[in-house]
Amino acid sequence: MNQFEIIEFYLDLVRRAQERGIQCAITSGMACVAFEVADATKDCDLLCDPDMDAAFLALLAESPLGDSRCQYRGNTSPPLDARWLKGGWTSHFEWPGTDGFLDVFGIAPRARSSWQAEMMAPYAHPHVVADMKRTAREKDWPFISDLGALLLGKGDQRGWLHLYEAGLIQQLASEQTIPSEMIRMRPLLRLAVEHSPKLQAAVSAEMIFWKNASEARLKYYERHLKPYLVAVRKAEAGQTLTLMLQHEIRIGCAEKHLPLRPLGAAEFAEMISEAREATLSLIHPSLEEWLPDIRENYRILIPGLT
Amino acid sequence: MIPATQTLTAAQRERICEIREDHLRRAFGDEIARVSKMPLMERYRYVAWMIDNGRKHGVKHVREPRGVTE
Repeated sequence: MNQFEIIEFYLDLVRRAQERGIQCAITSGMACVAFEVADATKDCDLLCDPDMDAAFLALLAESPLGDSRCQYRGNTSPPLDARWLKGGWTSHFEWPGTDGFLDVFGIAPRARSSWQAEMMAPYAHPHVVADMKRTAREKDWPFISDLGALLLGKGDQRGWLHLYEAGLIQQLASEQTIPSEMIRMRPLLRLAVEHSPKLQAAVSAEMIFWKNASEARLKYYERHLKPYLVAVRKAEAGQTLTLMLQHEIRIGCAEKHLPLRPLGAAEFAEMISEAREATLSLIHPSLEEWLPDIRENYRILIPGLT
Repeated sequence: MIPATQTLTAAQRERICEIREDHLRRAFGDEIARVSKMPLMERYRYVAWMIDNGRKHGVKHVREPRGVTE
């Protein structure tokens, strides 16, 4: 099976999900392709409404890729269950013997708006995709800037939040006025308005901060995985299981070993402090004032975050 | 509060489009900039060809499942 057939399979899967009333949205690499920046992405990353977990799992169980039936991928994959999806976990699926890989999550990492409220079906909104791309991977950042420019080209002022090249910001600022609300949300935009030579350094500092925050966040999840994966490995060892049987086993293991919400308000405060400290050790002190307040990006994941 | 969408003139829209294309070319190269203008399914077909070609030459699928998305 070639990769184009696999991509068609993913698109058909999402279409069938939507026909069943399952709210879901393709994001990350495949969404970037749809938004006119080609990304050679092998996986399908899919946001799925957590409350439609059972319906989507049933659909996966009924959706072979060629002759291969869907399975959970690896021992680390949490179950596709609202309790864990709402806590920021990701479920991983594969079709053994093929190059079909699907990652499903219920909450868009770092998204400051609900992905369900605003979609460009079957894709997540570019604003959500851009927030999700703020990872520690260097290669993701030019995609964020492109999505920012895309948004501004449609008159969507949230594009200003997603530009990570000083020259690009200045060019766009010469075409449009940056709204004060955007400057409030992202202080370094003031440097663009003032044509300050500090802009590039401030952009780089912000990127470092986001990357440190991304790595710190992952650590909070990964430290909880070992007991769970050991339990799954033991429970599934030597057996060939259907997806639904795997799911039952994983629910049992997760109820015993996998916290629902590894990142609560207290952990978040610690995470931000750690990320900030790591960033300040690398940047000039005068750049600290231009770092954004990223609590907005975690309010959906951590309800009640102040 | 998120500001409302700003209405752009045709000239502004065109200029922003040029700036975006310029960025695409700088960040991703001429080939990706060219591919990004194709109709959607042709873009997917091209991306799929890139992936298949990579695999044929030994490029491995490297993203391991971590239980959490980066």
